[in-house]
Amino acid sequence: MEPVITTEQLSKHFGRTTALDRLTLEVGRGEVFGFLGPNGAGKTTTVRLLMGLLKPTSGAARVLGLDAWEDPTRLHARVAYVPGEFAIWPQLTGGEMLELLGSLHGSADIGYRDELCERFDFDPTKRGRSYSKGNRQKIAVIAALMTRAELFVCDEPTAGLDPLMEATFRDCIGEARERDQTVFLSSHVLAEVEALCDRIGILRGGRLVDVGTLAELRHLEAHTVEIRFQGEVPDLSAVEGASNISWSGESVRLEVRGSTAPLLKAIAPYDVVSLESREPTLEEVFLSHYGPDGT
Amino acid sequence: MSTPRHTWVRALRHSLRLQWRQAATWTAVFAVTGVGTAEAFKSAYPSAASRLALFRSVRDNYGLQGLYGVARRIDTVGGFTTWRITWMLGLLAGAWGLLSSTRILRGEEQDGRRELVLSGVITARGALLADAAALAALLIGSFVLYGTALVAVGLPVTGAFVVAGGTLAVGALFAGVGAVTSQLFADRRHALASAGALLGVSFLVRVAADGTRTLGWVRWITPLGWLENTRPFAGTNPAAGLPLLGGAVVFLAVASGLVVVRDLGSGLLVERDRIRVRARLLGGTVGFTVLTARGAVVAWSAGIGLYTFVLGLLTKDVTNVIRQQASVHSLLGRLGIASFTRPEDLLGLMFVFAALPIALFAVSQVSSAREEEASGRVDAILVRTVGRSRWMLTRLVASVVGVALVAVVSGVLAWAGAAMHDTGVPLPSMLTAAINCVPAAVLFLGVGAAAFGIVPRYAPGVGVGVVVVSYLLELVGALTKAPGWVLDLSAFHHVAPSPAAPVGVTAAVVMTTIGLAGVAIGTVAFRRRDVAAA
Repeated sequence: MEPVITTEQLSKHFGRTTALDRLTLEVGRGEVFGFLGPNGAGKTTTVRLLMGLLKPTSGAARVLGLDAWEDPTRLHARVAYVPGEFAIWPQLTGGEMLELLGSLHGSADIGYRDELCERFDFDPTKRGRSYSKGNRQKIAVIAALMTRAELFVCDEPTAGLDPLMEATFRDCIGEARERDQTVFLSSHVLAEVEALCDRIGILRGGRLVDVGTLAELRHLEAHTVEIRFQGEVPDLSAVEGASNISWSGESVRLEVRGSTAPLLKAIAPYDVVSLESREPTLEEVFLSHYGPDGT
Repeated sequence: MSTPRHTWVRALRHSLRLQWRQAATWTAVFAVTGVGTAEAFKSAYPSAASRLALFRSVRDNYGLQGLYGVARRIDTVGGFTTWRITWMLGLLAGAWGLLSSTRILRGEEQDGRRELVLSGVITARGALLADAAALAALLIGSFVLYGTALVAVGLPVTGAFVVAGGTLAVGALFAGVGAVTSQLFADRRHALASAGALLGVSFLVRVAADGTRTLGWVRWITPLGWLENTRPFAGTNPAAGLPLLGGAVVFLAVASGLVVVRDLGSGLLVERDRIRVRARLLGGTVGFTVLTARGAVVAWSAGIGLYTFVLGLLTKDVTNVIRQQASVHSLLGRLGIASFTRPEDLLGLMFVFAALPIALFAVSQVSSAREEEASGRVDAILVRTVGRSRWMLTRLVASVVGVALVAVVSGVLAWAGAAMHDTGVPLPSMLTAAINCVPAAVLFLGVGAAAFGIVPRYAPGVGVGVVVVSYLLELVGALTKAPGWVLDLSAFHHVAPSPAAPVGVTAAVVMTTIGLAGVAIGTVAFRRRDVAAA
């Protein structure tokens, strides 16, 4: 897989604060990469480093084969960026801003732009200051998508959008993936990441604590298993990987980490009425990285 | 529900925090100008005879009085100081008032911070009154300090506090005007421009009153005339200044009535949401820079052009009178006003006053670049194919062109004013005088640009600070016979009084070079630093 984004020991300090600590990451072409983390984890810092807006304290970010800090304009011709909060020019209309941003980028598909305005239900004829937060965000989203760039770098792109517009955004990203465009998506919205992303990186306190496909991330987490027996209920506390066991009548509920084979072997001699196993949701994966006992 | 006392006090303290730095700067300007002028007068006119001769020479010169105001008791330190500086400090106080009130009462709202305050247990009226109280407290503080400075330099107490009070009362009045225009317009620039236009008209009317024999009565219809009518040190009449304070209260009452009948974020004069698309100027960095800068160029040209036009109008009167009185020009020479017999001499001298606002325009362009960065709007440009150097250089080149345009407009208007009285000053020499102001402005632009690259958050303050300090050095330093090297530090000292004297080519080249070096340093530094939001 040809890498589109490569960071090598990328760090950024602001004074004595370490915003990003030796991030090493690779995103391949055509991939939709989700970047998760709580507030202040360093997601925006990473995105701004990838766009060459911040200077790395150490390490480097290579995007589309170009150094993000050394060669930003050549890079930007091939990248589109959606900031989390789009600062508008109050004196320009929405259409004027799209016109301006398109000409500054160098390429914009006018037909697609008009289609996007339609799909996002955006009225480009009004003055900037009269737009609501969601409508301001639409300008940023449309301005990025209309370029049909090779790579989209998005920082909380759907902040302020209503659920309908969120769905439209997901459709557009899905279409972009089909066209082999790459997407780097920093987000809080777990459902969005779960629905869109091929791989996910999890950031905490400026450090990348986990990266992989959703299945891989889940694999490391405990499955929740609920078993109902008839008659004798076995003691499962000795089973390899089992924890948090609770009984209620003839039901047992427990969490299993790793393979479920030892558990199945242990319950085989007993009379099992039903067995329900549930994979952890992304939310559980996420929370287990940040919860009080997360590391 | 009305605003609880403790919330209101909290809002007041917040407002003080937002405003005290500007207040301190303005106060320093007032105090230094006052003290410097008084000291200069004492050393230039040590004897009673020389002071009386000066008074006689100016008494019948309506042109000069049009500029400075009626000369009353200028044979005393207090009378002279008041006459020489109050016309300008009154304007500056007015500018302070309307800049502050439109920034706090409209700018904060436009940037979305007002609603955070108003989401607290405070009404819109309560917040407005808290801001007004904060500004009033700062104006009073400035009044005390300025008055004390004048007393410290030996002026009689009553007169000193009357002139200080009158000057700051002009600030209060125009703060009131700004408070009202802030209710009318949703855009801070429109609120500022309309209040500024009113200040400009006040100045024009005052000039008409003082510069003619027949229109003296119109002094009673302009706030700057009320200030003059307080006659500090010359039959003091502080009551004449009461309309300033009364007007301030009336405007404040109007504003506090209007603030509760409008929606947050909107103005009473609703502007259209939809406008014609200006696609012509949206095709790239250059067009967009033109689109964003042209409003400022027009506004500054109008303001500075107004001053130079008046200057041109009055020139002939001033110089005619002086020519008739042979002894006068040597007297005026000691005033720091060079000796002059030709209209060109006066124009050259007074054009140095135009160099100051032209330089301020230059550094305001650095501030607006910083504002573009602080707001995050520059991100949207820099993540496209516009490099940082191109963005910054485009802006700076546009600023230089803007400076040149503002200068040319002021030169043409000075010529037009002079031509209306057949003064006989040719257009080319007025254009030369105007262009002569550009190198110093380019120098300040370069200093501001370097600050933008190296210490972005301080760039607006550094830019304005360097201009103001340079100006005070030149103004006060020249009058107090400071050592040459001190004066040499001020760029304004190197602005030749064109058209009276030839343009100092060497100085112009050196200043331009320093300015361009600053631009280069700033551009390289910007390329090497983080984009820094507010």
